[in-house]
Amino acid sequence: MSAPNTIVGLGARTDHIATVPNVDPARLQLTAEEGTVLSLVGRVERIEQVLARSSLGEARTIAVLLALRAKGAIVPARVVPRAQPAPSVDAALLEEVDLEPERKKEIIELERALDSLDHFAVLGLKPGASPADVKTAYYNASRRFHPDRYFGKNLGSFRARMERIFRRLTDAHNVLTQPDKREAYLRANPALGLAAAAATPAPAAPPPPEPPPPLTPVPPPVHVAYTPPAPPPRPAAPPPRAPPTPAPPPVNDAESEARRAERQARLARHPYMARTGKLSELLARGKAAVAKGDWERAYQDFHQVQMLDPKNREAATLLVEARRRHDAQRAAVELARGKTLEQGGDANGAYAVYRLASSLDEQSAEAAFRAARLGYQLGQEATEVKSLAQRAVDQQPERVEHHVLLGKVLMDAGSKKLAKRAFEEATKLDPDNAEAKAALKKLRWTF
Amino acid sequence: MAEAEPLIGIDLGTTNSIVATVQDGQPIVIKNRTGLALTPSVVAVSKNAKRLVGSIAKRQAITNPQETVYAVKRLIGRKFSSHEVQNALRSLPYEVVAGQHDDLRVRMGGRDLSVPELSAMILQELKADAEAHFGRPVSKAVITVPAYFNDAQRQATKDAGRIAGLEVLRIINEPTAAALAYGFGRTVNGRVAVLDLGGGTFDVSVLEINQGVFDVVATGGDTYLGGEDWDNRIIEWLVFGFAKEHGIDLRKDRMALQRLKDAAEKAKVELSSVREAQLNLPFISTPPGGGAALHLQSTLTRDKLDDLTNDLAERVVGITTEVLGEASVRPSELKEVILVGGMSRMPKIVEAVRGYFRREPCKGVHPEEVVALGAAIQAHALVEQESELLLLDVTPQSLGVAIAGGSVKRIIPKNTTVPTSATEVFATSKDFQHTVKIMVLQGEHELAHQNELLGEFVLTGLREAPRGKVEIDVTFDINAEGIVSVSAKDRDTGLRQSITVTASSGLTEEELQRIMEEQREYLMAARISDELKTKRMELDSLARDVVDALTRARLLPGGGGLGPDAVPRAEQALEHARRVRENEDVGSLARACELLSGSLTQLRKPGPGGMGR
Repeated sequence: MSAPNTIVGLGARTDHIATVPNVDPARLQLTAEEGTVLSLVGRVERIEQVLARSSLGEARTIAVLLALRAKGAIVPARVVPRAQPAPSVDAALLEEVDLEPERKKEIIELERALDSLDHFAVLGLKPGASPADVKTAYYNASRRFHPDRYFGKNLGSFRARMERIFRRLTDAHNVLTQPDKREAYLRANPALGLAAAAATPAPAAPPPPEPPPPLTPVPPPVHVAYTPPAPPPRPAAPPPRAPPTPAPPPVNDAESEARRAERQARLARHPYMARTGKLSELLARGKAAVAKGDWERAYQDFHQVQMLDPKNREAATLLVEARRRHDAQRAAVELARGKTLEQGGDANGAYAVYRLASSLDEQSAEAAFRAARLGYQLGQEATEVKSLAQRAVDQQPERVEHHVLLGKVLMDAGSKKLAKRAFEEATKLDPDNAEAKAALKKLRWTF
Repeated sequence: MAEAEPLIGIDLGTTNSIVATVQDGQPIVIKNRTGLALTPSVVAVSKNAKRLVGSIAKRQAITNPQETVYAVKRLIGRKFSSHEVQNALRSLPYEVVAGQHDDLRVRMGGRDLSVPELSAMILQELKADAEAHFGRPVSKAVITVPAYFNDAQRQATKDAGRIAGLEVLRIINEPTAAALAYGFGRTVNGRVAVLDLGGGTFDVSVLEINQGVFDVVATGGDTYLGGEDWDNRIIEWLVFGFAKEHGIDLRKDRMALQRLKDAAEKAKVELSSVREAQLNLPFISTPPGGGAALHLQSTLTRDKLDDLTNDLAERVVGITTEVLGEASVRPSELKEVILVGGMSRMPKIVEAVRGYFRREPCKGVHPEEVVALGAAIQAHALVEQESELLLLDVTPQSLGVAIAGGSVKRIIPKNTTVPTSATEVFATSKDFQHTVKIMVLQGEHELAHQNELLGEFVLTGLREAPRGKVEIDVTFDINAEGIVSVSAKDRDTGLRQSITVTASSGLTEEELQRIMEEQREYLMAARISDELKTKRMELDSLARDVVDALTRARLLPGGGGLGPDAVPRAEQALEHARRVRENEDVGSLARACELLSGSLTQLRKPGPGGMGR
């Protein structure tokens, strides 16, 4: 301990000093110099760092620091290096059980983090998630952590770990889905409650300064007609849907924003949470895109969800639907492009585009018809053209020209009987169609 | 590829039992060896001391009422002194006596058999059916019980499985199993209610199904409400009518009672499809003073039956309301109402359910097979781990400890998802209390003694302090298998004491071991007697063939060209066979068979120089 390195009244240069928590600068009546130095100290800082950064010169800074110490604004502090949790994790990882290493790691890390996570975070949700989301997240998580998923396997200490995790999940689920418990919990944890209030659009309150896009609750999707998503469980008693916390004052809101950001960052570091969080975010974004009618975005999002979690059935159904709608959308675009190409005289290009449109949306009679017509004119391969013409007829049997075209194509292909039937259909629909009548006449005199 | 061991699901019912499995991804019911899906849950000992199970036992019930045991499920895991058992005993024709520790024993064939043993006989029969189906041994099963069964009843059922030589993977609730089978292969998302009105019990469960996760929200029921109660009402009505007419109480006569029971059940079943049923029981009784035998003849209409059993139907609706209230779900919020159990065929029940839920109950499942199918699905899901299916089950009844003043402090309320744990802090109730006794109770009653006592233990060595100063943490822990462990800890000294609660099924471990040993012996004896029987039959047919061949050889000129020693050797072999035929030794029978078949080939084989035959 050499003399120049020690500052009397403060300690060694390498020691730390800390600002006294909840210090009131106004009451201390600090000078301007003292104020700047105090701000340099921040929460905790090494003395030599403060000295180095201060513009006052070393001696003056030391004097100011001593004055601050005398006023009780700062105190010497000892910084304890964080204990490294690594060794015990490794020990647990080495245990011989019937689990993949990644699963083991996931379980260990989540179990370790259980106590520090709030009810939302443990389910991989953002604060203020709706009870319906909580339910879905809970069921998804229980698929991963219910001990029954590993029935009869040698799990060693992991059985107890998983049971602990599952209990915690159940707890979180029970609290967050029962209106009264949820309310009490949010009241006890105002940060979460505020985040929840910020997340739910409160019509009476002024809009929060910066509505975070991924947090906005998505309106229930209206697109999936045949497989409606699970209806949001309505509790028996008419419950307040959002916690009745008053609109947050702006200061608190900023604070909660910061806390939320911090929590999200923490969450993102956790692999399981990151994955679940990512999944639910993607799903929500996809649903939002659906609501906006942006099928392409929705398709991409759902596809990504599907890649990350192939077992997610909700995403699978949504994906199918989104793909269908997206294809239909694209088909319409292609059809329009084909029309312009055709007008521009590029028949070959237009044919290709029409064919693409028809393959994208099998129900589009127009695309099929136009493709077939062009194909017929260009003398493309007969079977292809025939199937296109047939599709046009199948999709829109009430159009005369579809039948006529089919008849012509069939006649070219040499199947006179079928061609005759097509022309007959056409005349049935429109007895005055000259083309069909002429063709029929020709067909009647086959010899 | 070594084929996976077959897994079965068993619906061990009050009146009928079913076994099912999952084959090629599809749940199927295994037909028993008589070709039927349902095996009556009846066990009997015949006059020649043979054990009969299933339809054979049921058929001989009328002539052998005292040795025929049915509805054992109503007795399993119960205490002899309990109110329910004493009530049930009045209508049972077989003899029930008290066991050593207030359990039940059924006197049958001169032996006192415990209730799990009787259930095990039925399970064994089902197991044998499954083994016949698969052609290889079956040892793993999921067994269903009514949702409202308490720990002791579940444990007793598990013991029955063990006695029958089955490893019981899990005991699951019947309505849950029904929901599993209902949700299998369907994409159901939402809440469903399952009403299971079987032969002896009524169960209601509300489940939330979400993409293969079956979350039991609430469950409840009544273990003494089922088809048998309807039967009993009919019997009462018949007995009363008969007594009014002839002044004779038919219930005194066990055989008459058995006949009444059969007739009542038949009439009840009939009334599900027609409006009027005839009951004809000729020669039901002879008047005490002699004279012509009396006949019972009457007509039961559906309206009359509804009248007789009105309150039972009301109980069904009442319990349903209660459970829905516990689940805090309104009837209109349910996605589906699934009505299962044999009694769900009864128009009155369907009507009551329809009236309450204001919708048509689901018809898409087989009311009797669905539970066994669900059990098979769960067995498959547990072991194979390939499907998405996951069952989140709940505790059917509250768990708590007895506290001073004889009341109960609930620690884990009913309908809590397992695995779960909960801790409660207790304080001493007396000054300078050294020990504290912790009694683990199950049930919903406020008073401790009205609940089922699961187990008790003592925490000793508490530090001396005035009352209320020593705090004790009591922690309950239920794992996924439903096994309860309880630990108590002194907060200050860290003193710890814990037990794993193994509900007593009325059988101690030693008794269980002894019974299992006996079962093994019985099975061995049965196998040997089976072998003896088949060997004897083989011997008989061989002997017949040899005699035939001998006669032919004598009739044919020149002995049919047989070798000179063929005939005397065959005669010797026959003589030997006659001697050993009555032996109990399979080996000697087999040797005799060999001898006979050897001489038979010699007799049939043409001699070296002779013509064919």
